[in-house]
Amino acid sequence: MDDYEEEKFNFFGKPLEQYDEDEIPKKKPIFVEDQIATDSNGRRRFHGAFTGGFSAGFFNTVGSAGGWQPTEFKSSRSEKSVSTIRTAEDYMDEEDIGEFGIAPQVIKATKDFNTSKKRKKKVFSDGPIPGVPVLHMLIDNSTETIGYLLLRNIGFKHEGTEISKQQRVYGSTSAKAYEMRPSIRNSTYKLPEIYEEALKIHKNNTFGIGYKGLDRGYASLKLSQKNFVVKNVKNKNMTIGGQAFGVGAFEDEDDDIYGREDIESYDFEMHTEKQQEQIRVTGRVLFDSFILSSNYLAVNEIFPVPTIPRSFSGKHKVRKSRFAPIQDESSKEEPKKTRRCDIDATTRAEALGEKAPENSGTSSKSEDIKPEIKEKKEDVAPWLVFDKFVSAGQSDEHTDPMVPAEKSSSVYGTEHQREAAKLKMFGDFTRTTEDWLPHTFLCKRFNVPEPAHWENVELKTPVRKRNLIFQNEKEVDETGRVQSSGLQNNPDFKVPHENQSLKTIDSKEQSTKNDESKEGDIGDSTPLMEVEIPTIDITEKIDVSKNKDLFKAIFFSDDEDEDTVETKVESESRVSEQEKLPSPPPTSDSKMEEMKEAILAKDIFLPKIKPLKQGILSDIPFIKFTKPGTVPTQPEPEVIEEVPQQQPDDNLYGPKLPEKIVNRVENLMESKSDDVWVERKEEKTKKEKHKKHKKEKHKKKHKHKR
Amino acid sequence: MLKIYGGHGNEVLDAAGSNDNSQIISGSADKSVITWDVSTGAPLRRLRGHASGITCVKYNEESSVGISGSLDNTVMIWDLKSRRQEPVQILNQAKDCINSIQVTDHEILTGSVDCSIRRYDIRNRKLHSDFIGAPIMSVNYTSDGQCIVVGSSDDTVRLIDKNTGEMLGEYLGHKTEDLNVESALLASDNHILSGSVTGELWCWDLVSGKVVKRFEHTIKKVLNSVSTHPVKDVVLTASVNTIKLWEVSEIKEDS
Repeated sequence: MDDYEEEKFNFFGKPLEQYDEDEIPKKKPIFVEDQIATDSNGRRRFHGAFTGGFSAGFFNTVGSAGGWQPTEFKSSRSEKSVSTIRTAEDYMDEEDIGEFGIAPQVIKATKDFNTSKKRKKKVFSDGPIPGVPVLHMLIDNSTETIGYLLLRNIGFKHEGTEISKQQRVYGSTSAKAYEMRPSIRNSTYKLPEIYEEALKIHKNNTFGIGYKGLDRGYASLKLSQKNFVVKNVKNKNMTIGGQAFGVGAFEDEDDDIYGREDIESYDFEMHTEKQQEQIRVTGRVLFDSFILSSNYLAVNEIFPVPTIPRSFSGKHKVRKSRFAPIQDESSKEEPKKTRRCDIDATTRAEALGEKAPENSGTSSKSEDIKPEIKEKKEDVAPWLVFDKFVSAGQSDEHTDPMVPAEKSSSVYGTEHQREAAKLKMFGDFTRTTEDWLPHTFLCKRFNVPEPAHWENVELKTPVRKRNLIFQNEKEVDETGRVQSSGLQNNPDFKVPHENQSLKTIDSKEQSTKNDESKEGDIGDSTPLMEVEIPTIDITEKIDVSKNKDLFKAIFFSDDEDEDTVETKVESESRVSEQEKLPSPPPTSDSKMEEMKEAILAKDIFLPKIKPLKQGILSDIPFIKFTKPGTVPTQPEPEVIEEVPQQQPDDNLYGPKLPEKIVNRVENLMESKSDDVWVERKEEKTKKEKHKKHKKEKHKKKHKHKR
Repeated sequence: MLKIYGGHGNEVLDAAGSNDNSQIISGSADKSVITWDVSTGAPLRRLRGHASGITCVKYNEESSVGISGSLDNTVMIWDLKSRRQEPVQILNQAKDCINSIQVTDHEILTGSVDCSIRRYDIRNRKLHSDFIGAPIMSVNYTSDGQCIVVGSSDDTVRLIDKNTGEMLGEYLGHKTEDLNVESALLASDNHILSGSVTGELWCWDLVSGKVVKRFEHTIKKVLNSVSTHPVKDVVLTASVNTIKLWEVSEIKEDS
């Protein structure tokens, strides 16, 4: 039989493959619990117990991108705290914001480009002439009446012939324009669908057409907040809400048990479209779009005029309010209260039938006041100058302004200044000049170039760097230095101090040099020894007399150092020339005065930073490092040789310096072994070269540091 | 009377107007410096820093900085453009009360009871102090800015050369006793003026030093304040409770 059937059928196409039902494994029914929500990338969403709502953004971690990470609260006077308002969008991720999420972001046209059909209120710019422009009022579209515009705003569309643009008449509005044109009358307007339902029910309120108030069930409020689509499904108004809270992605929302349903939503009839149309048209048509309604208007409730009570008179009585100015009352009350009762305590007591009280303390008042006053006086005293304490010339108890103040007996100015002033010799004697640093801000305000390398002057006295240097000094006459470099009549008083201090510098220098480190750059004003010096007893006291020449030597050398841009060689040679030991003192006053002038003119007491015209590194012969033993070999031996020549002079400064070296050299010269002699000499020169360089380097380093 | 500016807690001892006439700075015995808005009368800043009453206040040329001298021996420089409550700089070189201050475009001049005038040169970063010999009551620059007129309490007014410190002229005759009597200089730089204890305004010829005239303000009442117009030959004198305005057109010697 099968074969017969097969022969009769024509087969088209490829037959399906035969399969055994048993072989193919049955598909497991996928349970709801097993289903996993994944995002577009296949990542797991809704971790753990989280079953619903919007996804916990940022890859379900909500750990960053401003998400749920706790932020510090920081608020200071300079930076006030900014209150960040967190929106739901903060917790949503791309999927939620995307097309199929719960809060889809849609790109819309902006207001300017939004071609909505609604008529927008024209905003007239409030320029110099505010309000509606007069021109607009004068010129108006006559064919478009207000009613027309209203209807159009509602959504009425003009069926039939549209008013062609040709018919629009512009010009000043006149009474004629308000007449209904035949074209308008005849044309029918189509009521928009939205209003059909609303207008069916008689309107006895003043709400807008189709307005439904808030008076609904609790749950429906939520719904109404986020309704996306209003759909008609089986004549029911169904809204698809955006609520996703507490509901799993796979479950449907439970029925709204709190919402009051509109029973009318159940009220529907089954009829065809034709029937619907008929229903509409049955009533008598008025004005082409209105029909007599089946419902009767609710009678407006008339409220009668309120009955006026008999006691009412038309006059307005001013009532005292609680908030009226209280002053009047208080002012009246206070004087009464403050005024002491005329009744005496004794009479009062009598009236009350009690014992008369003893007379107690009116006298105590005065006692109380006095200690107060005394205390105040004591407090006044400390206002005297905050960082300078002056012994009180006046006793502070006499603060009575009428008593003439005792004259203060403080004396200002130095002896010499006062004498000069008496003699009317103003000028050099009375003038003192100091360095003063204005604050950079002050310079700005006064339009003066600011001090570049000085730091802002704080309200301190300038740091006295000198102290660091003169640590070994026995007596430091700081006041003398600081106050003035003005002429003092007793230079002898000052100078020896200086000399002593300077002497100690030198001795210090010498001691350091003894170490053969040659880092003797302590003061710029003192010259450096280029040659090795044997150890000296520092504690040895040196006569003042010697120091005058010392002074000269120092200061004159200083002069030269300041002025010239010399090569190292020249400067060295000069220095060595001037290093003369102090000669037995010529006690001429003229010299003293010379020195005085020298001192005064130079203001040398302050250590100065010498601005070098050369660069700091200019004197270092770098060639030496590249080609050792070339350039400066020649001058150095000269120096060395010079020194021994000068040695016997008494003018050499410093004790016993080059003798030994000379001796050494002489000894060396005398030695027979040429090899040894050569080597030593070379060593020496090298050493000395090195040392010189070192010294110079250090010298410059020190200078640079300062 | 045009306006009253109230706000100080004690006597106002000095006041100055800004260059654009929009502000007034005043210093008081209540230790504070207040800047006022001229038109509204509202205090703009109240600067507290001095330890004692303020004797003199001045603006700088641009009126961006206020300088106050006080009985606490210091001069404080205040920034008026910002809201800083502390002074920009404190000049505390003086050893006694500051009585008078003058400001130029690059200098601050102070006169103190410690008998010295101090000239702070901002441009050159120097401080020049000149010992005068007697407590100084007032300091003024001459129009050319090269000399300083110093009135001191030893009944002398001196003309000091700014750069050298030398005395160029001395003007005597009036009596100041130990009161704070101001001296001034006419804009024309020909005459020196000073108040006196006797109530007279003394006028000397700058060059010769001779007394040219004595104007009476109020006899026997101290004429303590004298100020001159920056341009015209006009003098204001104040004594007790009266102010007089003198126009000095021609000053001839009293025979």
